[in-house]
Amino acid sequence: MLTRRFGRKVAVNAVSILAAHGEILGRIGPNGAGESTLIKMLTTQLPPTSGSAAIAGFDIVREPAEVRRRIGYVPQLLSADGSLTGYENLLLSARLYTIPRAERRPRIQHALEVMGLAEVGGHLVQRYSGGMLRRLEIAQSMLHRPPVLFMDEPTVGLDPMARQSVWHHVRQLKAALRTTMLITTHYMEEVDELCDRIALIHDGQIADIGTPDELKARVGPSATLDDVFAHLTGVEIESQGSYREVQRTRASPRGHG
Amino acid sequence: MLSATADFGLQTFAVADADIRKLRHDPVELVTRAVQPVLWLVLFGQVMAQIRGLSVNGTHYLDFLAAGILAQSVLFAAIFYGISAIWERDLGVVHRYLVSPAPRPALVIGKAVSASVRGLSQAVIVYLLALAMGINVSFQPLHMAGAAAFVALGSGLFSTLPVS
Repeated sequence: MLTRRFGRKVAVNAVSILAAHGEILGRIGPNGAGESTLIKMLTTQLPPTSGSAAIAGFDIVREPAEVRRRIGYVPQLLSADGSLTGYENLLLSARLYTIPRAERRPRIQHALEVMGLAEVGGHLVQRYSGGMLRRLEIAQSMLHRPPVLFMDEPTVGLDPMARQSVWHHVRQLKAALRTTMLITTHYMEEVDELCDRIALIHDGQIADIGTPDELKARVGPSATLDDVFAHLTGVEIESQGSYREVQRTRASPRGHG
Repeated sequence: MLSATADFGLQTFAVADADIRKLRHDPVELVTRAVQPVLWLVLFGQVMAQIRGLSVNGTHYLDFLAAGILAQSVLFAAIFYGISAIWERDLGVVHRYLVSPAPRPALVIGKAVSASVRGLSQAVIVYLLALAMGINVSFQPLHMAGAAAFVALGSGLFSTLPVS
């Protein structure tokens, strides 16, 4: 049960979610609904105002160091360093997570192969395409084999082909490692494609939670996820964020693509 | 306890090493940073050395100037490097460090170490330049070590000012 206030505004209000081992849980909601605050608290970047949560059995407030060892995080902003090669980016992650020296090289090679980046491992990341970047970032955050992976809008700003390839690799990871994944997204296709269950967040609370089919069935026959979204939040999916957010999402792929 | 210290060392090294690798991929930055001290010593220094009013207690003006140029170029390189670390925060790169098990000091000390390496490379350039211009530089090992320590500590300190 988690709560976070900013001044008098309650960003996340007594939210409680239980993700099952090895499932992909999607979280959708209109901008400003509180998903970002929630993900920051769960990844120990922001302390909750009250309440707490357990990740892989460790408390995010009392044992943040243990939690950090067991999570992977793919932020919405670009987290791979453009002036390093893909291999060097992975090496940095391997060292930060203190993976033993003998294992580093094989693990990095394996990660590059799994993510389809083996041929470009020695290239500077500046020259990667958007889809390659995202796959590298996922590889970075999975290198220490965390049981839980957080992804914040993993396919924002990608073209359909790149998005398909990211989805494909995410599904492969899930099948191979049984990683529990929590994904925030604004794309309904992404939810339909990837997620076992969806939590719909509105006004800092969970408006509804269930499998995509369950949610659709609750709204009516032949309802789409868009209908579910509109029904539960009372908003049409149209409000794509503030000026600053738009500037950020558009600037980051261009500056480094 | 011992393994925690070893981990901390590795994480600090990881941060510093990543930055030094960046410098190796793109050494242009070192060259552009060297433009300023070259301008000062070669152009302004030579001109101002001609002005009698500037002679300092019998010391040759360029000898006097070289030490200041060393300090100045190291200082600027360090501060600009620190500012670039803030740009990194605007991108997502720093989130990587924040959600990793590496303690915060590992990040700051790692940045300071790599700033020291940059500072030292600046110092080498200024030393070579001074040598080429016939400036009276002391090459006693102890003096050299003192200057290197000053450069390394100064860079580390000033680079972390914007970070903290």
